[in-house]
Amino acid sequence: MAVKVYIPTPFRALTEKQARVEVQSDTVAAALQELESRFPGMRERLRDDKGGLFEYINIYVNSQVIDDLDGEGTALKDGDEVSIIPAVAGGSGAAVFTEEQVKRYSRHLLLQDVGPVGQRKLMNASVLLIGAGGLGSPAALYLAAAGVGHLGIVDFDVVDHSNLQRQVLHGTNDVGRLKVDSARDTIKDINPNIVVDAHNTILDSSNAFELFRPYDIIVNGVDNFPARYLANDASVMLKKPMVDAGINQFEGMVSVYQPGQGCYRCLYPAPPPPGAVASCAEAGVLGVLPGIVGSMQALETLKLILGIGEPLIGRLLLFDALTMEFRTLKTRRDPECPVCGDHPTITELIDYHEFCGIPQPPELVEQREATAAATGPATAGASAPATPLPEPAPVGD
Amino acid sequence: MIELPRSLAEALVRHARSGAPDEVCGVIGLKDGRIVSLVPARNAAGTPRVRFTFDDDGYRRVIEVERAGYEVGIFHSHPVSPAYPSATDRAEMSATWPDCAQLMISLRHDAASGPEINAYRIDSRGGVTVEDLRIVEDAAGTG
Repeated sequence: MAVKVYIPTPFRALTEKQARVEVQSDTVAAALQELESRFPGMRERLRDDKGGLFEYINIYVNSQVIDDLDGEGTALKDGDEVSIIPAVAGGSGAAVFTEEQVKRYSRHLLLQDVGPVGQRKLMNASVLLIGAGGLGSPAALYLAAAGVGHLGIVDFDVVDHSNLQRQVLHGTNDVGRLKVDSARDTIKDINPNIVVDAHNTILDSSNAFELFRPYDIIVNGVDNFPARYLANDASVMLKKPMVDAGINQFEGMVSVYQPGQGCYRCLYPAPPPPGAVASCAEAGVLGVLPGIVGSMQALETLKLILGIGEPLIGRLLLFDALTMEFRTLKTRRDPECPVCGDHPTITELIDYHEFCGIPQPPELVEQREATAAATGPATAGASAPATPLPEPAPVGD
Repeated sequence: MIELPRSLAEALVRHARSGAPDEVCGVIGLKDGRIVSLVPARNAAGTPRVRFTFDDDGYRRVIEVERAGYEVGIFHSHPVSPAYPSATDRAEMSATWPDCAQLMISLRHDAASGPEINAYRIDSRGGVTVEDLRIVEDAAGTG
């Protein structure tokens, strides 16, 4: 009997993209058999080791499922159409906590300000960490432990020996591995419930929007000024809150930029001249300092998700590790800010290396595709903030 | 890149809102990277607030879209979680519909800022690729 078999979209790679195949068969079993012998790999997609059809494979003859007919023994006539339809199912997951989750999160569930409602918010939240280094490490660890359901990590680097002094996501056995792979493994070890997206890429103007879009909150752990301004601008343009931090030798700073309530450029409209502020690689850093500051980033992120306490919106927290002095400075949105002000002049991502006056290192250029034409750096016309601010601390390393 | 005509985007939003707090689901048909057909299917899951499953009728919708010669994809809604494939979505779709277009709509911020619609593909290992989804104006004579 001349019969048409419809190949479902996921199987078409096996049939050289044919959506429909003609076979000569008297029964469904014979039709599938013919398919399996003509197309390598088909059998493995249809049947388990014992030769039975996978439970999630539905076979229809015309409009009837074979379970309602004679199963694979169903007879076929000329012109019949056989359809292979894999099951369609999915969903956001359980509404109630599993026993494992109740145990795991018991200390959260006990807290009045968290409880089951708060824990559910954490499990439904998506957070992107830029950088799996000195700041990103503690932030990722604590967000994973807390049960933030979806974490993305952006880092193009490999684990280096010198990282181990502070980048606690990575261990000695990870040296040489991609940071995002090492990060993902550590996170999954702490909490297998977390969905982790490992983005082994440089963050740049060509991919920032695409990277940021699926996430609710951006946690900035970058270690250079171009990336800092890029992350800021992209967050503002996509209206995503950003939990920002920087460290420099013995000092740290943390702030939260909520859409509409100011951004990094409101504080620091222009980057420092190249070389004016040393990186961790140049000046060194006490390893535990980013541990504390990155943990504070995790804390602020959790507060934003849960809607509790007072996040550092409109405030800049400064921490002196040697004196254990904490200071907070009030900050405000600058109405003249070129990105988040009343009349933004920067509405697209620019060339941030050019903006910061730093030539791109050759390996960076190689890894990049051609970037969009730069629209030129912002003018440093914004007035200085009312309270004197510390030197910008660049490093998340 | 996947194009979604405005009329279908609006139909998706209406359908998702009418089904809330349950998840809604259905079939999409694509031609040359553009969604040209959006067919709701009944959500036959036992716990439709957090799961979706097609039933017989749903599979017949799939057959119809296939007969029309379109690439088949799937849409579903997350009433309270993000418009992103959940662990469940990944686990299921990586086995059954790998690399197919997944259109997702979330209503979690609907009251405050409107629905979120995104498109993805989930590969056979559960990895997610974000598709650049563009809402386009309906061409004259289609929609």
